[in-house]
Amino acid sequence: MIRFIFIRTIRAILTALTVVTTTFVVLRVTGDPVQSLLPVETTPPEIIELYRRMWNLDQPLWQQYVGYWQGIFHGTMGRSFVDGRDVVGIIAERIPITLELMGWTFVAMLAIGLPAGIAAALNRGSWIDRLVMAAAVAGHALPGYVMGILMIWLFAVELRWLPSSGYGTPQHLIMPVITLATAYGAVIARFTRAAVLEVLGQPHVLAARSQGWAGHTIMRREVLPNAAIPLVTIIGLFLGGLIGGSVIVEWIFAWPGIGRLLVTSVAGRDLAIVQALVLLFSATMIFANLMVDLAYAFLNPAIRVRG
Amino acid sequence: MQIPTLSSAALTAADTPQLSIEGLSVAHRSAPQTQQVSDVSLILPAGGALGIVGESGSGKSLTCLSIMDLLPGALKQSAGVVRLHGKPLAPGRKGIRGRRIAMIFQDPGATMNPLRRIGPFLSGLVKLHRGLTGAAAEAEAVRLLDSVRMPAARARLRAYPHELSGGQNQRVMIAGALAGDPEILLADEPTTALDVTTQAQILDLLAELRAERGMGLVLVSHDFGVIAEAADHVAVMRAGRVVEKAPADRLFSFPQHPYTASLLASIPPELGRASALTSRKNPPCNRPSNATKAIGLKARGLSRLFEARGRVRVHALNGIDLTVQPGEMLGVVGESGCGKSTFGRLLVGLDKPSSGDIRAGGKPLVIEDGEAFRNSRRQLQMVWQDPLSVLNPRLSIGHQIIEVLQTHRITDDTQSRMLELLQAVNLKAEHASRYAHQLSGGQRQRAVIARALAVEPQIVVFDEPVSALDLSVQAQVIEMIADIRDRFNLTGIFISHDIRVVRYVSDRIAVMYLGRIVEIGPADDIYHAPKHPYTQALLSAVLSTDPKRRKSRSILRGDPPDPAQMPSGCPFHPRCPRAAARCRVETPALQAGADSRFTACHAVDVETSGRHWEAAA
Repeated sequence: MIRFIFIRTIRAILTALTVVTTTFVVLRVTGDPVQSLLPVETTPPEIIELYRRMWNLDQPLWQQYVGYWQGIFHGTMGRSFVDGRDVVGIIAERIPITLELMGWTFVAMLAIGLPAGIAAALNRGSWIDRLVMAAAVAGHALPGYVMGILMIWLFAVELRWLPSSGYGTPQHLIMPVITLATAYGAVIARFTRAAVLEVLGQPHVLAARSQGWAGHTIMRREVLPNAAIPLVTIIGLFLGGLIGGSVIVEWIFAWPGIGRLLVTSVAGRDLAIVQALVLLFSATMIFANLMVDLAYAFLNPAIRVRG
Repeated sequence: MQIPTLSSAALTAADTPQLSIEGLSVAHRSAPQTQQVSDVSLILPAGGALGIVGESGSGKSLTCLSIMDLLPGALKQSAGVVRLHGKPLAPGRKGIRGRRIAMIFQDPGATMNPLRRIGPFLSGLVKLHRGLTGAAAEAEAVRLLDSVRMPAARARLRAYPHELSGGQNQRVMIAGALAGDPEILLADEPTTALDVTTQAQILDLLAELRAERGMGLVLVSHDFGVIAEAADHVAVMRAGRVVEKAPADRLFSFPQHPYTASLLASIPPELGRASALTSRKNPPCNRPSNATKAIGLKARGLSRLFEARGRVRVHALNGIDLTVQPGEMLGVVGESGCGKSTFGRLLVGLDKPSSGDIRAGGKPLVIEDGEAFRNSRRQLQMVWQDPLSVLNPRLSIGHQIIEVLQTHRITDDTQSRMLELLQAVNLKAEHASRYAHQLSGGQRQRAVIARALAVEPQIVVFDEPVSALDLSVQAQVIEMIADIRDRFNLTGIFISHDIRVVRYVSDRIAVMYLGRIVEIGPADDIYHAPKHPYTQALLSAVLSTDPKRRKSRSILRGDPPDPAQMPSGCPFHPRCPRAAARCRVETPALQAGADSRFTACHAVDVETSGRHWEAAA
């Protein structure tokens, strides 16, 4: 077990190193940020030089790379190219806002997806199954921006029940959470159905029935724990993916979180912030993957015991 | 001779049978007219043992599941009634399942919840059926494990199913079935997934438990040997119907229905070698002229070491020396984990030996990718157990054979060559356009063999080629293999766990145990006069349907060995009835005996002492 954790952790660190380096390279080869930030024709060359020095863009590439690594370890990711504020500070004040959205979305998608998937599997072929699956396809197929705008039109413009956008009250949370949770919950419902059906067909469920156990006991003891193993993998990966999915929704609902920050920073070619955000996103993904591996090992005694 | 009919005294001796099935029919919910089981009536006399035997699709398992009302969701019982002591059982079988009737299944590993330890599994059942909790339930769990002769019972409580062997898991399942102290045990193919020596242990256990508890037994199996061993009344099923039912002794001695008789005649020891020999007189298949004569195979010091997770070293093969003569068929037999499949994979170059070398026709075997590798593929072919997973599901059978002919540029007239090949394996031209899923199991294996023959191999390794097939089909495919072997002038390796099958097709037999050959010699000598204690045990585990031939068996104790835990000295000594002090320290080498037979055993009286066997081969 310890060996398993060790190997997975090393693998996660190696992935992180690759991502950090790739991010640096990719952002440097897309052009000189100063030239796109400042109007080149009208700006005096010394001003351009000043900016380049301020952001260390005048240094050779390898020095920039070393400095970039030092920054990561010291928790200083440079200053915003736009307003000169500390990047870590800017991101840090946005993180709780996005986490709030993600947390509720996570709860909502499980609350929608798991019961729907289980109900569909237990009533395979019935109208419940068909309804859940049709809803899942629709929920997954409907893009977030269409659903978000439809909801804004219905609940904010026509019915005037909810605020159309912004942040601050629980009412503000409702529409963004529903938009995100519908898409992810739909996928979870499908995976849950498949996982439960798979376990229901296994001989140990038949054996448990032959032993006289009641249906709910078999569900709790045989079916759900075994179905949880593949589900944890999917759900864990969604946790990492949610942060990416939040970009569109945060933009539509003017949610002042990280996703919105990413959009504005990309539009403004704020290299320092984009770079930090890419690292943050990938670190989240890598961490989520690592957690999935560990959870998988914990749930499955065949891995846990042999280690 | 007067044969009593079904309704007469023999089956209905008791006033009220313990269990009776009357007019049972099982049909699809969506298509009620297609019956899987039709009008089956069976009786289990009090404390008796009823065997239900049949091939796949005969409805024997569905009949058994109907007793517990456990049919798959797509099926339903469309007619009939199941009675326990004359009282009809209610749907759902509440209070019956696990308490009055218990059930065990085929694959003990898969019938246990992989996430649950043995202790909670058993004490949960004890609590459910007897209301015991806590320490009392645990004590009862230990007692149950003791009653199924599980060694170190208390220590097993913390084990997960994957930490136990198949035989041990089946013991745990039986212990669980006994938790409710049932009066009837249903056993659906309880030993099919187990090794032969383990099978013998489990059947003995079932017999002992029946005697101890006066428990009735309903045993479902495809294997007449198992049925003959454990049942005193037998029903033969075919296509959903009971075609014959009779007391066991009478059924096996005087089968009435032609189907029963033909099945009994398909059991490997009964297969007449004479009939196969006549069929071998078929004209040789017209091989293209570039085909060469048969070549031999020579393995020297062959070892394969697996390093599992960098720590556990598993010696799957341990210094195999072997020569297969051109045109010879060598049978390789042994229990799971003995290394026989690893051996087969090495011989066709699908895996690299850790040490030692293999020569085919005098030339070293090429296993690196490239032109030479492709040519060596022409020389060596392998046939696996499960034909469905080997055939391409998206190409027709004919297409797959033609593809092979084209890849290796065998001939220009691929179409007619393909048809010849199909004919050689007794398939018809119409099968060429079929897909794998449209063929029966036997036809699929024939198609696989036809495809293997397409490259005109000189050596073919058959790895359990008939183990997944029904008995009657098994016999046909074995005969076909014996036939093509002669017609195509093949050198062959035939790997199987079933020594009866191996003996039928092989010239010589090699018996493997824990990565070593423990005995090798002419097939009939090995079969009729085994010398190594392990070979003797393997043969004594073979179940015969002939009451006269059934004798007291020497059952091996313990489980099939784990290659990761290699014993010192002779690898067989922990299970060997003749083990002496010397066996614990010194590994015996293969010594030549009489009749070109070689045995690796200190206890065997070696007539020609000191001669290493390979020197003589």
